[in-house]
Amino acid sequence: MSVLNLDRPRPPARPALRVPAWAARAALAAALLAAWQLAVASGAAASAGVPAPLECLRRLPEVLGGARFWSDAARSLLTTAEAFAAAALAGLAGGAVLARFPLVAKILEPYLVGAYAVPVVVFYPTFLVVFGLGTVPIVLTAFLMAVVPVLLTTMVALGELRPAHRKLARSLCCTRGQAARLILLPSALPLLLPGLKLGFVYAMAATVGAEFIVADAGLGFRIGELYRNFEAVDMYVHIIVMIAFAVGCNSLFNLVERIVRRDLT
Amino acid sequence: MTTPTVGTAGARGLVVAGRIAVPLVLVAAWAAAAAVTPEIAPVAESVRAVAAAWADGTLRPDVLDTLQAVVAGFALSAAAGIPFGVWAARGGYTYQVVEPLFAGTAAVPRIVLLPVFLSLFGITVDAKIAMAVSAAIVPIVLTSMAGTRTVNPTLVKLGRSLAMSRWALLRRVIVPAALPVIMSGLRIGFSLALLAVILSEFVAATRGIGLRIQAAYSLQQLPLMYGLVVLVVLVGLAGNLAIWLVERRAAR
Amino acid sequence: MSAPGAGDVVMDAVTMTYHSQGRPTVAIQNASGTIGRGRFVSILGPSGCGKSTLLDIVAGLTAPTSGQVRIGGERVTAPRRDFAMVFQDDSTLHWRTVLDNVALGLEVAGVPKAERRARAYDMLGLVGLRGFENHRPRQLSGGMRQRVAIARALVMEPAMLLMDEPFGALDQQTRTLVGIELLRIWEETRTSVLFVTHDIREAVTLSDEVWVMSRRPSTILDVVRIDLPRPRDAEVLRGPEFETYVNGLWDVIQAEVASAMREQERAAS
Repeated sequence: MSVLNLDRPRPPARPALRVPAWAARAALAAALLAAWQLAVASGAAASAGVPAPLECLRRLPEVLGGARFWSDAARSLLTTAEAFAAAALAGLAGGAVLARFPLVAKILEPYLVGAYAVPVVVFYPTFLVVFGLGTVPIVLTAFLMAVVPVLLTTMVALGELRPAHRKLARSLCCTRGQAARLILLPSALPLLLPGLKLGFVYAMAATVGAEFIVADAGLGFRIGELYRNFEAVDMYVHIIVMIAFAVGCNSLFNLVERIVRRDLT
Repeated sequence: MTTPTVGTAGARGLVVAGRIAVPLVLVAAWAAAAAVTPEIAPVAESVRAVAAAWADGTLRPDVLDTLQAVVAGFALSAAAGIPFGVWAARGGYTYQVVEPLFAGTAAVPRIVLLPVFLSLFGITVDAKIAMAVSAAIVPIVLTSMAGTRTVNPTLVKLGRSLAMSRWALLRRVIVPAALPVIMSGLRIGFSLALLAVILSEFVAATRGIGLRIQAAYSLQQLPLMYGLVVLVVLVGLAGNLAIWLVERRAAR
Repeated sequence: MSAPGAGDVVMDAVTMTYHSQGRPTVAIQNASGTIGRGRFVSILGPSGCGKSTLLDIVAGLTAPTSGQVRIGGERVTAPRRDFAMVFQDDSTLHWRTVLDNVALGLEVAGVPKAERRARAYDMLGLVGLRGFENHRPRQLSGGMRQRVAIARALVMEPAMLLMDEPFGALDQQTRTLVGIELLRIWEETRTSVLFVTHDIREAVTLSDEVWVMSRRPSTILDVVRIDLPRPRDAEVLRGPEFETYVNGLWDVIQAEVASAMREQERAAS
């Protein structure tokens, strides 16, 4: 099937019966849940205090029906959205400026790449000291975490025209503005999306992480509190919802990407 | 144009000077901020606080515990993630099933797994290692798959025409060709492993730099706290630099 | 040779010298020639002989070290609106429809939307892509994309069409077919063309004149007038005269390549 197939050449066998990839993934997830259920039922996981998935499932409607869950979710989402919006604006603008001034970009390049290596959440306590408990330190941490990938991808996407396109722009006597508007920006747009997606993922990770450490509300805070109060079932319900939400966000971004990049397929 | 363009000798000098200036500017900004507000500890005091904690021997176990968790988590992720990624990429169907699993879970904030690992492993270094693996393995698997899929099929054909064994083909053709992409995944993986470990230590740990920062914050030992934050940043940069050096060696 | 006319493009002792690692390398030396108005001229030469560089110099994209290019007595120092180019690499914009790709140059020149769309639509008819107006480049074959690029160039009604191995990335069959298509289009427009290629048959098929370029330092070694009748239908292209031109050009090129190889062997030993 694949170009990278390493096996010895074989005559084509009759096509294997294959379920669609999504169904295989669903089966995999179901198998994991079943194994979890069995492990708890058999008592193997008893010492760890892990509840059974069916128990979590029964509890799920109650948690989702409570006002507290929704106020926590709203807080986390709002904080993430604020940080992401600020990071997107700053990252796109900063990346565009750096693309315009290659010398400055060249000077900052190792530091911007290095910023990827910095666990930004480590700054959270310093922001707490300066700004006090509240959403400001969390937004700031999430912003710093999210701005790096947006800035870097923007800089790269706007940095260079494809050689054939550059020659085309020159041979058509495009002004700088025309070259940017007609050729550079439309060709860069699809490249900006992965950076924005990563920015959102990082903003969410930093928000939930910071809430977990010190906060007074939010899903991260709630999971931490439930952990400290030994409310295992509710905690696992929150964790599962959080994972489902993150995976959903990712799918949403993929959908947007597919729509925007329609011309590429 | 009056500004020198990138590539000329004058521009190269400017770039070097600028790159040296950036950390100096950052430290100067820190010093200036410290002069303005008492909530930011002065530079020299922060450095002294970390040096003192190191000298009296109380910091060493924390640093070692953090490094152990990061390095172990990173090494486990690489040892498992690279072979798995290369394997999963080679068949079309396997890739279709596996890739969205990792791409989708990449968006999950890892911290929510911490209570799970704490209940499984207790408040131990193992819980931190598990956190590091959960964070680092995703980019490593994703880039190993991506790198393997970009290997020029002609190279694979060449290898097969030379009657290479599967192992030789992997070792001599596929992995070297995919290496640049895999290395970028390793760098991201290391950063995320450090992030996950520090986060875990902020929440629950018996040792670790993150725990010490948390303690310094609670006790309002601001110079020590700021100094340790900078130490973590330097650990991140050093790890990245080390991987980058290996990458450059491998590229030659 | 007669005095240059108003639409003629004249290359006058064009020389191009690069400096790499402090040592000057002469890429083009004293290349001179005149592309008469409405003539189809090909530059034929081996790979790396600097034919694309010469084309860029005529286009005003690259400045020569010495010498000059003139059109109607006016010096070419920068890209001109009345020169249009077709490149070897795919240069269609993948986010634009075929119609908007063809209209790109007109848009840059500030032609009103209704007019540029009408002109682009007509031009698509000429290159045989009517019905594909709203397709995206990705939905077209390589040969069709190059026809989009040709339409984009011709819609400007250029005084000079500059083509840099435009069919170089196509397979042999497509290449031949698009070449024949180009002949038909050119018969209708009669624009001056400067066409870079390394394919002898392609050069003979299309051209009024073939300029043979030597290896480095490159210069124009020979100018061969192709006095085959037009339109160049199958009868002409299968005739003995066609083969005579091809063989004659092959002899010139072969001598050139052979002496280049001898020189390399001498240098190596």
